[in-house]
Amino acid sequence: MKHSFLTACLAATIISLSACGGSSSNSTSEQEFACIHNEESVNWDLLLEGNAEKLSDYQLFLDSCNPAATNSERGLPYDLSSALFTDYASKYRFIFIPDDQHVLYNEKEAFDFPTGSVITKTFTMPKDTSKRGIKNETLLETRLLIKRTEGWIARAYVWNKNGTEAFLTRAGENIKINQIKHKGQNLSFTYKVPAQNECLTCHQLKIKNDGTEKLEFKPIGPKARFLNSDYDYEFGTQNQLTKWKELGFLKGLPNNIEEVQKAHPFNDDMRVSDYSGTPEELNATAKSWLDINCAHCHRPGGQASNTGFRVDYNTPLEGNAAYHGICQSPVSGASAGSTKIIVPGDAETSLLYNRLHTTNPGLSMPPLGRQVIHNEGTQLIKAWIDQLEGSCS
Amino acid sequence: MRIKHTYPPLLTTFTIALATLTLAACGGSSSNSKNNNSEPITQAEKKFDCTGSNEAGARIICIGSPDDLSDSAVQKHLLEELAQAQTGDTYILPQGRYNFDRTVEYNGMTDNTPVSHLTFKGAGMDKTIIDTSNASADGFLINNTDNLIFEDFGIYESNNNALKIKNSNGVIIRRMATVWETDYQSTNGAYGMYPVETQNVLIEDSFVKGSADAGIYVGQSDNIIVRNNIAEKNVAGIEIENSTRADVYNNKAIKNTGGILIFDLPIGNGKYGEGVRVFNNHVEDNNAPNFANKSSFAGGVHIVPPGTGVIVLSTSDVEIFNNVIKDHQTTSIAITSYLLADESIVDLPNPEATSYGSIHPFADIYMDGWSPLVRNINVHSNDISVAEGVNDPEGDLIADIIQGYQIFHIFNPDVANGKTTIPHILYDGAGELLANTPNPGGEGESILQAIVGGINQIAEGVKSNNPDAGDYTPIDLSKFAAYEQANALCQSSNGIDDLNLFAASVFETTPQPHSFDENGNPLSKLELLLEEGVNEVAADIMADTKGVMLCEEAYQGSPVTVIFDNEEFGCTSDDASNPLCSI
Repeated sequence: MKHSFLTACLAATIISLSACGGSSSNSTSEQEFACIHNEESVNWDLLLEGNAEKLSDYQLFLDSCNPAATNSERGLPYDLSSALFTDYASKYRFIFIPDDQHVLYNEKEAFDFPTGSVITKTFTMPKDTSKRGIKNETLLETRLLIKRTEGWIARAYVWNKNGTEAFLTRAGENIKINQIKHKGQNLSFTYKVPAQNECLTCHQLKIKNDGTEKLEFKPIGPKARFLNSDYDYEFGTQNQLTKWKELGFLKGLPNNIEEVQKAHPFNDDMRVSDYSGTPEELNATAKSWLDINCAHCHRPGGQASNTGFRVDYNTPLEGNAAYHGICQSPVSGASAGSTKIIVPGDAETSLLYNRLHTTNPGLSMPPLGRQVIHNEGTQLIKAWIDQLEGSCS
Repeated sequence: MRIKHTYPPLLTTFTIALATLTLAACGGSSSNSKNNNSEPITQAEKKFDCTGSNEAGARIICIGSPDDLSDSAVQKHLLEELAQAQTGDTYILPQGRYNFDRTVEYNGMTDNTPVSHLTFKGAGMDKTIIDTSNASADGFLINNTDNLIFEDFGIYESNNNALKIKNSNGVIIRRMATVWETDYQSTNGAYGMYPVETQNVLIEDSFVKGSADAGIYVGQSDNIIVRNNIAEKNVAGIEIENSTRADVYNNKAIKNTGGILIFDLPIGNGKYGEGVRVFNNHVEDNNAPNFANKSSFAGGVHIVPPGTGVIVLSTSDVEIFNNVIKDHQTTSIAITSYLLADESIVDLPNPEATSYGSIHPFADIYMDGWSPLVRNINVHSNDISVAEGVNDPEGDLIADIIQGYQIFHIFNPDVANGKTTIPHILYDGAGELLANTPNPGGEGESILQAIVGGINQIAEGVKSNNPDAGDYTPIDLSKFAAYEQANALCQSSNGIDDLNLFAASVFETTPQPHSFDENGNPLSKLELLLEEGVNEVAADIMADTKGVMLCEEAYQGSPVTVIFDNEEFGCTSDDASNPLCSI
């Protein structure tokens, strides 16, 4: 996926014209939400309150109908080298950092963002996953993480049918997805925009400090290891962390980028052979995928810290087999026909694989944001478990 | 060490001979234990009857409106209000049955402000019903917030747990119902009422039915009172798991697979249980088939033998008294070490191990503080009875024991005449035997201490050889020491008449020259008699003639007090005048 904030702006003008042209023929209520070409800067004060009913009120994007492009000098698009699966939706991400402020580098955890920062993530659904690009996609929702002095808050805005405005939802919303094409499959399902309280399911972390425990809201994606990858900017491809540093968005980055962690890349266009050349490569790809898809809960301090499955990136598999659930029995919960969380060499009897390879409510994992099976992700996990050595008896 | 690596199944040599017997037994069980008739549930009509209040710290929020009580409107309203929850809020749920397609969830903070003292209240457990069959996981999931109250409503048909509460101090569940309407269906959800990692929990006057796991399940918690509830047609009626200080009293547990379970499982998170009193409960006819999802945890409820009243599994400091325990087709009370669930707890440690986890299947768990043994168990003053004809023991977990007894009955009709097949106070005794047996050639340590001492030694080697291994906590050997009278297992005045009902241990608990075979494997009393021809144990098989369970001084638990804000609950506080509390 290519997008840069300036070329994207140009493209957006064209799209918005056609999108707006389409909307004008509709009812008057839709006309009220015609696309607005935004000449003004981001409304930081309103963002800090986080209670605007309409997404356009924040003035984050160049065109109110295109959340994939901004004209703000304080906004920057980014991608993750391995991303959370959300029903084959495309995702368009930006960080917005207030003037004269900067993000502070962290080696292993999410970066420290200054008060007033906003992270936006827009979810869109292509009709055909082989033809992605915002002009081929239906806008579903835009999620905001807003950093206040006391911590992060989360808001979700759901787009109207014409893609001309997004509205705040606190109770979540269901969106019917009909017959999208994915590699020969036709998928129909109900996409679920999370309720506001559900955000904290994944974004919570209990931090231990001097014997007391504090619950904190944490971003998940913006970590050095997922941003330490190339991005196709306007004037060519560049490492995202280097770019952030150059623009003054990021401080504390080691001078030698080789010292920065790098999660193995994964995307749905990869075939198993692309990442399984060596056991080390396969393991690194699996660890990267498990980190971004599972480890926000399945880590110490996470929502699922009490289960027998923990896959935080910085606990290596080697020497920590039981920690990862290898040959371990699940403590509770239904079992999907498996007695062990991970059985080396045998994905099909492993609970991990079986809970990923189902859409059965009560069994499927992750518990939020997945209504269809992520074929490519489960193939990766299957290949990884199947090549693990050892036996449980 | 002279300990055999493998621990053979009891009486394997008799399996073939018994195939016909067990088949016949299985055929009989289905007729008297299955009941598919659900009581018709009268449904209260939707009705809005609520006056709100905006008083800061004590807001009363009426969910729904007189104009719109549609399912979606009620769900949306509740979730919207809960997204903006403030400390002290009470959410009043309207009367009627509402179909939700989302988990009702709160994670402890509203826009980063910690929130506590939330109350959810309906019009009555049979009048306000939240049907969460269309939500993808739990019905209600409330985390990280203290002083929660759930009152007067029902949560039905959850795909996972009906009401899960995690990491809270102060939980009251009162006059609530968690229900799956179709009886004995393995696709029913897991736990009904499920406080986990909580403190100060009161569950009272509630109703749980149909859980494919445990109806009331208090896990990894401290200070717990479960009283005046009805648990029926679940796999496990009430389960206290890995928890400390629990009083379970005046409940009815009927028509479950197992009535009341006290489990301490090797879960590896440093949280292990002890100190549970089970008293004045009515435990009857828990003879349902085990309809749990099979193949999960070795200590999961799928192992519960159908027809069991009370089970104590590897939990110490338990007092069971003044209960009516009636008409169980397998056994009234089973007390067992974890050996029965998983024999690998006494595997020999692997001296070649290069990491702590590979020293022994339970190395990490033992280091974490868990013990597989039962100590300080006092079963007294219970009214145990079994109606004539209710005798049809089953259950994979104790299949070998049942088979052995069935053979015994055939070959010893004069001893067995008129008695139930297996003991109605059934004690495994195997863990105690291994704790009481000195390690041959050792320095006075028990066999179990030799095993865990070996794990400690190898761990020391792992640490010095492997710089990445990190630190480890040596296993406390005293937990594996020989039993003394003070930590014995006692039973008295339970209606054990030695005519129809008898109490016995499966293994002798004091090692004798004949207690082990030539390979060092412990032999059950049944094996000793039937395989080795040791006649002197014959009388012990159907009675406790050696007084294994007779004690001069028995463990006495102490009352639990649940503290919720400034209120206190329990037998020495709000229930002090209740005759069921005066002992």
